Amino acid sequence: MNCRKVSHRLSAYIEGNLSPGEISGLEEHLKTCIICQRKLADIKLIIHTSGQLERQAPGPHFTNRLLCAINQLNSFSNVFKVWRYRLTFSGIAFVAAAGLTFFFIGPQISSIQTPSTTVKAPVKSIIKADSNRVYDGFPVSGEALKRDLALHEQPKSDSTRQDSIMLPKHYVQPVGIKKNKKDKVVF
Amino acid sequence: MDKLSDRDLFKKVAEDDERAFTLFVDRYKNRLYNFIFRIIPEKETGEDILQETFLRVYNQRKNYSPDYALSTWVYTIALNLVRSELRKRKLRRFMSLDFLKEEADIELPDNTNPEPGILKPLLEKAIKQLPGEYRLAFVLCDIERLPYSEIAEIMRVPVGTVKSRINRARSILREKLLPYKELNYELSKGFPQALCLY
Repeated sequence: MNCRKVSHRLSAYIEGNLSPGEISGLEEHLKTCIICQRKLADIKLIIHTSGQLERQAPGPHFTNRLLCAINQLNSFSNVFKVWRYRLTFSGIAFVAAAGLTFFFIGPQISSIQTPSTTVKAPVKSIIKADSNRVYDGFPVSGEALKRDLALHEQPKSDSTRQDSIMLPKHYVQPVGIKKNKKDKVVF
Repeated sequence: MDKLSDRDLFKKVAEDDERAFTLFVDRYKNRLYNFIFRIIPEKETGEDILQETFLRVYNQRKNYSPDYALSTWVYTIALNLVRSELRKRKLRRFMSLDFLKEEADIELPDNTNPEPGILKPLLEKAIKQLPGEYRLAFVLCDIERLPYSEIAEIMRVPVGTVKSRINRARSILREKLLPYKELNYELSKGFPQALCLY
C-alpha cells in the first residue's frame, strides 16, 4: 500500500471500518512511513479536539421566547379560523341572495322591450345615397341608375317596406345635385 | 416523562401536550444551536434559526412520520433553514461585492511555547474556513457525533459521499493547522526540519 492509498483510508482506519486485509496492509505501511504516521496522529488529534470544543447554547430565555411565539401563532391561527368561517358563510349568503334576486326579478327585466336602434330612412335618402355613389367616382351608367331608382320607387305602395330600408354606413349628403319635385336626380 | 424515548415524547407533543413540547425543546435546543452556530457563528441569527426550526417542528407535529429518526427530521429542518440563510447571505454578499475580499488565514500564535489548549481556538477558526458541504459533514460527524447513515439522510447524499467529505475535511483542517503543528513538533519532539516540510 502506498502513501496515497493510506491517506484515503486513514479516517476509516481510525473508525474501524476497514477489512482485516486492508488493516494489515495499512499497518505494514505505517511501520515504515513516518509521514503517514504523523498524518494519522494529526487526524486523531483533530477528531479528539473537535469532540472537546466548547458547546454553544442559546440564551437562558430561549424556551420562554419560543413558547410565547407559539402562543401568538396559535391565537393568530384561531382568529384566522373564525374569520375564515365568517367569510365563508357571508360569501354563501351573498351568492344565495344574488341567486334569489335573479330568480324573482330577472325574468321581468328580460321581458321589457328595448327600442330598436335600426336606422330607417325614406326612399328619398336612398336616392341621395345612390347619387352620391355617382359623385364618389364609381362608374355607374345612367341606365343602371334609372333602374335602381325604379326599383326603389316600386315599393312606394307598400308603406312598411319603405320604412325598413337601411342607410349605407358611408352616407354623405351629396353636394351639387339638383332634384325636381318628384325626387328624380338631374345631372 | 423525563425518561421517555424521543418517539414516545413526540407522540405526546403530537397530542398537544405543552409540557412534552417544552421537554422536547430542552432535549434538542443545545444540540441544534451548537450545530447551527458552527455553520453560522452569530448568536442572534443562530437563535432565530433555532426558533424557526422549533416552530416548524410544532406546526408539522402531526405530519411526522415515525419511519425516520426524530433527530434526523429535526436536523434536516434546521439544515434547510441554515442553507436558506446562507443562500440569502451569498446573494447579499454578491450584491455588495464583498466576495472580492478574501478571508484572513489563521494567524500563528506569537507564543514560542504553545500550550496544547491553544489548538482549540485555532481548530474552531479552521472549521469556519472549511468549504460549506465539508463543514456540514465535519460538524455533524466530529462535533455532533452523528452516525454516517444519519448524516447521509440529513444531507441527502450517499453514505460514501459523506465519508469522503469528512475525510477531505479532516485533511484540509490538518493542512491549515500544519504550521502550528510543525512549531509544536519542533519544540516538543525536535523533529528534523526536512520531515516537517510535508
